[in-house]
Amino acid sequence: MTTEAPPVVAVDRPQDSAPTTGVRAWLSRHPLAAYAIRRFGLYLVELWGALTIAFFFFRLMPGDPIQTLIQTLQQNYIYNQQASAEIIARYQHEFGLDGNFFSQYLKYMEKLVLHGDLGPSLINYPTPAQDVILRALPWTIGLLGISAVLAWVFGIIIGAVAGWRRGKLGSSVATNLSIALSHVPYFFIALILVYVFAYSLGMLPARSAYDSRIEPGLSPDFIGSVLKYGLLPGLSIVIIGTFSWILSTRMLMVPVLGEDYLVYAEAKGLKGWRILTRYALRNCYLPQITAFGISLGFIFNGNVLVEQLFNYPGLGTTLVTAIQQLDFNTILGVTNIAIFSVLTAVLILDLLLPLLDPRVKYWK
Amino acid sequence: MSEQAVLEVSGLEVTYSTNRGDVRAVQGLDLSVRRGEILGVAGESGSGKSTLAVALLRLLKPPGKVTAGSAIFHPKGRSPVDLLKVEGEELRVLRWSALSYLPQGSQSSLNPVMRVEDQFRDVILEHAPQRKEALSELIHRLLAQVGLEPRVTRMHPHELSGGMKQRVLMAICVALEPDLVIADEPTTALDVTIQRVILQSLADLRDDFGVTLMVISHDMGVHAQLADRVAVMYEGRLVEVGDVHQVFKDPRHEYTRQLIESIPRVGRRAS
Amino acid sequence: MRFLEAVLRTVRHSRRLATGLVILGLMVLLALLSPLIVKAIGGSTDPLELAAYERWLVPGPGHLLGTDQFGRDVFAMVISALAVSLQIGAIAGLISTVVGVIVAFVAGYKGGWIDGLLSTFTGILLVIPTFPLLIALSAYAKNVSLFQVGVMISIFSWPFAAKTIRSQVLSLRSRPYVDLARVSKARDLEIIGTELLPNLLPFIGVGFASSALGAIFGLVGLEVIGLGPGGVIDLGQIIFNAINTGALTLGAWPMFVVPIALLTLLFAALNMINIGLEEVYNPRLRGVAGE
Repeated sequence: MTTEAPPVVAVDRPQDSAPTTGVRAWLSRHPLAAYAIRRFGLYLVELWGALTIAFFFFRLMPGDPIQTLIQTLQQNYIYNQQASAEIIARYQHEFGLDGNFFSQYLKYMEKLVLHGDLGPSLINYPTPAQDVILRALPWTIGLLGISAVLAWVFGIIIGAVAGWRRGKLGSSVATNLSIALSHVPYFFIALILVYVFAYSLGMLPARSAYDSRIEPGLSPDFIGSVLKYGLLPGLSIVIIGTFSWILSTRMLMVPVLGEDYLVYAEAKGLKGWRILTRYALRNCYLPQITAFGISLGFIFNGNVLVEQLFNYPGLGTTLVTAIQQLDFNTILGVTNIAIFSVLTAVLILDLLLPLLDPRVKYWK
Repeated sequence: MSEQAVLEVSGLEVTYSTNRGDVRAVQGLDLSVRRGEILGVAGESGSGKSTLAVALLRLLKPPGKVTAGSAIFHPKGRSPVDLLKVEGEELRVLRWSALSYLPQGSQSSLNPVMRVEDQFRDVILEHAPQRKEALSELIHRLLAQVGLEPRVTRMHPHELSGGMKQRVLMAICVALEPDLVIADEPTTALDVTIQRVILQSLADLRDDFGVTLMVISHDMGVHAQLADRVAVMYEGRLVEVGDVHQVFKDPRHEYTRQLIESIPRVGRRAS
Repeated sequence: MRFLEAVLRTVRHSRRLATGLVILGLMVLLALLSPLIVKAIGGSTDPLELAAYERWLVPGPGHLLGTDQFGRDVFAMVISALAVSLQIGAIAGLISTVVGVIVAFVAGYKGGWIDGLLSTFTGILLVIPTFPLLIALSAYAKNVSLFQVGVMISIFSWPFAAKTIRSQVLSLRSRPYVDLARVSKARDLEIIGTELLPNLLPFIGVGFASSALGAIFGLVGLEVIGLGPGGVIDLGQIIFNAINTGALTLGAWPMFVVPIALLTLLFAALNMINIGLEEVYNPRLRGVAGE
């Protein structure tokens, strides 16, 4: 993750001679609605594009995963080596593999979009893949969501202070540590944390998401256990994430500090922390909201490894297991849900931004 | 007009250190500002007039440094203080309630993500919390003073024109009735017609609030219209200071004469 | 010669860039010397051979980092793995940069719907989680050469380079001297070659560093979940071995701490080069990362 360019800042409202009736006129009178519609349209295009890329990526892969999958299926469930063409055809139909690429694609999209159906999972046949995924989803949302937001908040606060007090020792330590560690995989820290706190000191659990002796439910015991088990995986995401947000916030902060309105705020005789929060920080956290959405995909990538290391029952572990067993529908399903979540999060943030940042140009 | 001085600058020297040696932007400057007057400071780009303003406002940033001199400031109801020495909390409290700043309107001095109203609010509440009761009334009155409607309070800076921004800045700078306002190129980069309006408002502010103004401008025309006295700077030195009529009628320094001649005049061709 | 002078001048301007380059240089040197070092460690035996020594030796004078579950010298393994990691980074970085530069030029210079299409595509690849796709790809690449691994990884790392360079092409395209060149010469390729490319070199460097970083990152990711391409032993593979053979529980920390430290150092060096170049050449960010 590197810094994002700040959003386009409006210079002037367009003064063009807009038509007075019809859809265009309505849109030119409601720039925010026009922006929302355009943005939503772009979202649909991106979503369609990404889902299509994922589909064809898997189907066009050398070595055809489907054949392997069918073979594994035959070995696992049908002990007759000479499986009849009829049975293969039935499986192919069930897994959406009959017909040419294009008709497969159409059928796949139809099932996905209209029914949210991903087809059966191989490992848990005949459970649909979406059920397997939905079971894992809350764990990932909890772990990744909370850690990512915490890292964002910490990173922005520390980064802003580091930019504010640049030249001071603490600031330069924070900056240099961030430069060194912001591109390190979460997994590295996770491994060190596990080694120290789980294996050497034995203070925290190294695997799983909760104590299996406790009945899952809304009991204090269970929640405590979830928190305790989530601490190490969460911490590894928070630590590295914080460093990368420190760096980008500081990079946004320093040019803001040279702005005329900061000099003016100083001339106004406002208290230092007020200038920092209301003048400096307010102008640089807004681009970071967009950057947060964009970084989610990247965070998900890193999260896969963390989950795998801790054997955390989330999407990452589900994905890796599915890959190891060539559970095609589940792999594609996890990919799709990750794509969908990230693009939707970016959409929501982009739609919120005009409400938060008065400068964002949403007309045109 | 009283002859009592609000500010007495003596022996001011400001140096910018670069890796090619030191550049003295202001040297040996003595100047006093009288209560209630409008003092114009003239000079071309690089003459040191802006450096003088930022040094007095204590907004000078490295590599700039005040290397000598004093600036004794006499705020009403407080003891005199050397503007160049005062530090920390003492300086912060002095700001705006006694010494305020009117930047160039074309600069982005207004915080782009705050409503106009909040940019009044923070500075007033910081220095005069007792005004909280009648705050919006006060803001509306200040805006009316510079000819702006109350709806401006709800707007963001990017919705304002250059002239409107300059007027908002003017209203903010007199909000706490300071002893001295230092205005840095208040009309630069504005339309000629708007320049006139701004100058008129500035003159009105002096009449209505009795503030003392120090107006920095490269434009001799501004000084001719607005100032009571004019100080002329050239290469970091004060070459001439005097009553506006006297300076324009009978400039003592050759440079001043050239500056005056640079004003376009009706009926005379530019040479 | 002039190019070399420019490089030296740039390095003098940024201590951060200089530090990054020195660290990277030392690592490359270490990698180049790795066959000699490995030989020096082993003497007459090959320290990378299975059962060359006793298994699970603790670090000591004979074996600086001890030995692994097969009795191989960990220090020798790490040094040769570093060479492999660097090669993969270089190959993937190079391919990504070339693809990125081409895409960025076509998009940024041509503009219009081509730019819209390419930018949207690059944007999608940057935003969506691509790791599952990479994982899937790797599942079918069991026994591949080092070069093939580089190609595979660069499929996902080129957008990093393309994004950086495109924004620079856009800003350069609107500069007056490019307009001037367009008026007087009017040939796109010539303008690109004489006016745009030289000005873009530093940013191409940034693109290379960030895509090399992304590539090594991706490969390590694949390996630690056991999906690394077979036949290639790099630092990620050593970490995977360490986890799998219980080095964590056995307390054989050198097996994972040293590769992690080396990779962290490599990431830090590449990142310093990135930021250093940006600081020197991007006026908007000059001195931004500061001291």
